[in-house]
Amino acid sequence: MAKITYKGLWIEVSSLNPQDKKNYIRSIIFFALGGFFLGIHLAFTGFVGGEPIEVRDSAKPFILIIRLLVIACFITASIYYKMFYQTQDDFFKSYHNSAFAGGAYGFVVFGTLVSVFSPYFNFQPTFYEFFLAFTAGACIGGYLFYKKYIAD
Amino acid sequence: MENHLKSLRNKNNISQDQLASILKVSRQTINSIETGKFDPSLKLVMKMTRYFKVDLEKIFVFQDDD
Repeated sequence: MAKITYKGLWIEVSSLNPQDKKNYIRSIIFFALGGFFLGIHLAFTGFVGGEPIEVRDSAKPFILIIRLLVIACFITASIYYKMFYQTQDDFFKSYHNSAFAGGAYGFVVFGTLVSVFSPYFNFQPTFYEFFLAFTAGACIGGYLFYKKYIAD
Repeated sequence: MENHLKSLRNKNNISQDQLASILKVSRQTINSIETGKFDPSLKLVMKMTRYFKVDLEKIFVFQDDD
């Protein structure tokens, strides 16, 4: 079973049984690969902020393949993560829920605040800001779980 | 929720690691339950009662303010 470490920010991979370890590592690899391809796609469309790299030819085969790879990688990662998640105990599932609820909370709170106040600061939030808000929220959620249930 | 899991475990002379392995949970789960921080699921409670061969009330103490 997964051991929660680093104050709720990570899990100890060596604590997993061989099958869970495989599923977890595969999901992380596919999420990272999907993120890499998504970064290429976002850079091409200009969604990450700034000018798009290539506006006119954004539908050419290269970028189409990249987009298909994004979808394939994320779906594969999700399948492996689900396989890993299903074999974990209730304690880990509670931790997982806490972290992701924190992420959703960060996303929504940040998104709402930015949307409401952005005209006053002349600031246009992009994918990165929302992703960072989600990540920060997930870290806070994981840490709060650690503090409440694990820390001495 | 208050519980007697630790005393029951000591009485049966098994470690947290061993109990975790038997119940197929992590040692953190056992520790968190023993310290009263985490309330286990019904499924896990049933596994405990079967393993220790005791009634639920012998392990967990439910109080009105829980």
